[in-house]
Amino acid sequence: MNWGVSGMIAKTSLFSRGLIGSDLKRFWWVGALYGLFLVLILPLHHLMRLEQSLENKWAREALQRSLYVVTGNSELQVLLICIVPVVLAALLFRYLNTSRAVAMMHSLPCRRETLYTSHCIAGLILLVLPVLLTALVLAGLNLTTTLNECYSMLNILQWLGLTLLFNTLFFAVAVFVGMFTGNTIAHLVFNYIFHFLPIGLDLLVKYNLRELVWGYSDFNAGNTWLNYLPMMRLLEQSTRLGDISWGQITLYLGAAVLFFGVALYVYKVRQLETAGDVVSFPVFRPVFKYGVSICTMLLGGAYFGSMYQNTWPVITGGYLLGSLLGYWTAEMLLQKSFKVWAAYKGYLAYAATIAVLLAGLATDVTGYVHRIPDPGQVQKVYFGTNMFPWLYQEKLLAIPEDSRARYEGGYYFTEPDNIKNVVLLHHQLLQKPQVTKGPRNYVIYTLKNGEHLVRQYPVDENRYSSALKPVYESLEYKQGRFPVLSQNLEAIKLIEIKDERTPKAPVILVNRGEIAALTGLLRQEIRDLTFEELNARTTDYVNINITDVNGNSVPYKLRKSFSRVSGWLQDQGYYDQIILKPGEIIYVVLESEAQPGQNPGLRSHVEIRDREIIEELMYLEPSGKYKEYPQGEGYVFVRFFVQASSGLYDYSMNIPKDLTVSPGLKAYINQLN
Amino acid sequence: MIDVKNLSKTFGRFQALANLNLQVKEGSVYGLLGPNGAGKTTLIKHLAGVYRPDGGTITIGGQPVYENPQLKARIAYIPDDLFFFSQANIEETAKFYSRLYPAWDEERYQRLKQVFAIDPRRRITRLSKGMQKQVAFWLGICLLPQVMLLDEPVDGLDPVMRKKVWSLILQDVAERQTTVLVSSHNLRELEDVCDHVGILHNGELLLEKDLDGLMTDIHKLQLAFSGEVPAGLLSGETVLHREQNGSVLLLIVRGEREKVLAQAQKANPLILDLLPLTLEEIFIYELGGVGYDCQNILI
Repeated sequence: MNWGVSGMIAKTSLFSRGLIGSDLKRFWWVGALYGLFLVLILPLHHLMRLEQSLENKWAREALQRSLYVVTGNSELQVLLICIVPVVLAALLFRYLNTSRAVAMMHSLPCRRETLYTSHCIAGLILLVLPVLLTALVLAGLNLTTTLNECYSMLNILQWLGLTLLFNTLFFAVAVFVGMFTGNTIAHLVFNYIFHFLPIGLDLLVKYNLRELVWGYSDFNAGNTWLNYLPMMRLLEQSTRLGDISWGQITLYLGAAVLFFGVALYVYKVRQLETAGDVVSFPVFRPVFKYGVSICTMLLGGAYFGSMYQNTWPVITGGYLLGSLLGYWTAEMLLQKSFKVWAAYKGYLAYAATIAVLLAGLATDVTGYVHRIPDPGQVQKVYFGTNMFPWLYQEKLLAIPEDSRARYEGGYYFTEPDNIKNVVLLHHQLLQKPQVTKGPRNYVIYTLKNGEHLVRQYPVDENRYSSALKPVYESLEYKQGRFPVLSQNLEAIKLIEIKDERTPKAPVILVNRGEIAALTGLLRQEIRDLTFEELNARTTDYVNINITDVNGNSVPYKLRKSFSRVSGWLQDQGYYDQIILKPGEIIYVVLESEAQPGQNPGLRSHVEIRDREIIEELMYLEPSGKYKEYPQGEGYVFVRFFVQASSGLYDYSMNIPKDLTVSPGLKAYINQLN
Repeated sequence: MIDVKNLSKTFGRFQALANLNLQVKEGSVYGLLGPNGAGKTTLIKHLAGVYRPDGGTITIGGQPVYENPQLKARIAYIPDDLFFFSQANIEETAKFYSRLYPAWDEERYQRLKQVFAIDPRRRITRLSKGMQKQVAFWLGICLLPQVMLLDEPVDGLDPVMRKKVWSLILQDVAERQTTVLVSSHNLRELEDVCDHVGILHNGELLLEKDLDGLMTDIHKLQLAFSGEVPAGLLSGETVLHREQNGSVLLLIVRGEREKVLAQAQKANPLILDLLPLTLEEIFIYELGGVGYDCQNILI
């Protein structure tokens, strides 16, 4: 018998037109639907908005931004980019998941390469054609309508390029992932897990460490590779990372090529009898099983920790439940059976490993928790609730000199005494309290050897007042909180003083002498502030805004204790110009606070025109008794109506009902009930 | 033609095929027998180039079959469990195969429309199981294969269609020297068509036989005597089985037909009948111990 009948040989080629044609015939509807959606979202939408865009600059920009795939507001398109290639890959390679289909496909006279490349080409055609057609329609509209005022041909080309790039990349990833499983649902699930696992695991691990390791800081330099995970990046639709660069495009393309290549290799070594299995390669079954166990364990710990208490028993209980659930679910999926008890040994080994790790964490084997540097080793220390000022300062120097971000939320200490005080505070913070409250503060040491030591603790200002007092009263702290202390006098352009209770025009100082005098007094007052004064909640209505030559302004409250500043303002005659006088208040309305769910219009209220009572209300200082949010049932809402040139101006405050007040005012308050 | 050497395959911990050896001559029809789970389908999927062997070699016409498109283009594989694209009708599926198999015979396809009498515009997945099987044969025959691999082929076909299909295939065997390997768990189905039979059990080939040879040298005799059954009857021959019921004796004997009959005549039986043997009986008696195993295996 002659096996090589000429002209009858199935040519060994990279792809088969028969296969591609059959794929296109079977799955054309995916491409058609995709194209239809794209046309609806883009050209049609643009046409509908055409008229509006002629008049409105925002509408024009919105249309342009709809073509920005990465940084715009194109959620719908991005959703399609995240879904369509994955669905296509799942459909095209679904034959690998049933033994009937796989036997049929693989008995065809084609090598595996041929099958693989043919299906991939068919998929790419179905992804490229709709996008290309949409781009052509967009280009056509651009040439024939006024849409060319909204966006250019270049915008369309960029849209085309980026959409194709991400479609290709996500298709490649989906094909790649599909080679490792023999189940279509698992294919879809694994695909998205593959995209989000790095960031999810990162979050979970950090969250769990924060709860288990006292003082652990989930510090990162803000610029990790996790930001560049393509699906996250697209879904985020943010300009945070800037426009996509050519380097990044090359990287994504390279990744796509790599995924296609590795997928082909995996396809060639894949055993076809694994159709239907959740994991096609025996080597990866333990990876899957223990990977799922770890993820569900961390999730369980995080869930129980956040729902109940962040204590060791609760979290380890969450771990136990989570890992049990994950381990046995994975085992059942792998064996496709509920009778999986024989696998208990694997779980015991896993549990033992985790127990050892947790014991290590609990006993602080690495000394992480108790590591506090000797003050002598410390070059400087940063203390604050916000990590970004430190990051900008230490990691990215390219921050504008005048940016407010530099000042807010964090303080540097370089004076040896101050460093010593922060270290002393740190020693106190090491004792984990029963109930943690207060804002989480970073303590970041820059050691003399150049290393950083980063910790984070909730700092309750009442609990740690004795240790905080010397820190807060230090000049370095005050310089951080009140930039005026270190501000160059020459850089101050103007100072604006205004009572926020009245519409009266503010006083604006531009005279150098006056600026110098006021700044000098303000500095003295700030330097003399005590810890208690710094922490007290006061109601001060007069603002001093210092604006520098760059136009940045920083507001300071004129505290009641700033008698030297008030005195100077009075001496200059400015105080009377701006301050609200009792006589300017026409009347006051007291309102009982609304019950939750009650219509505010139904609140009982009482009007006061008695001058004495008005004056008493005006100078009431209820803040000492303030809770976090001074409102609710025990409070009275006070509205002051002030005479203004354009009618009435009003401001308001809340006072507790049980505040000690004159009998006259008490009578009014009682009328509310 | 088909030459399988030391083929082995495991699925996880389950050994599906163990050092299997099998030869099928060109132009012959080889019946592969075995109970469910014996490894028939696994073996056929290896022959079709679907599975990659764990060990051993499979060649057809001297060439390895795995990842060999030229060779696979001449193999028609009709699985037990058929798969067709869910939306496609017969016409479209025929077109699909015609583009992938260079030897596709369009004329034959058109001619066979009369034999199968199914509207080619019907969606295949909507057809009954038996009709789908007919479509598979229809298309398979049109590939002008040199080798046909048929896994439980006549399952679901009505007797008339069975006959038609076999006659088509056997015609190809006769005219084009097509080699056919056909599996079944039912020996009777294969009796009429196979010239060789192999029995597969637990992944191993228990035995292989040429049916023509088998048929000629095993005989079933029924003898009745007026008195006692004489002792030493047919002592010179190999008696595979002996069953006595009063004065009636049933013997399965191996040997030349004439010689056996002559021996039997010597004992002067009242009646001497030479009864036809079924293939099943031949297997069971021929194989003795192994054969009794087979009795449980074969239905």
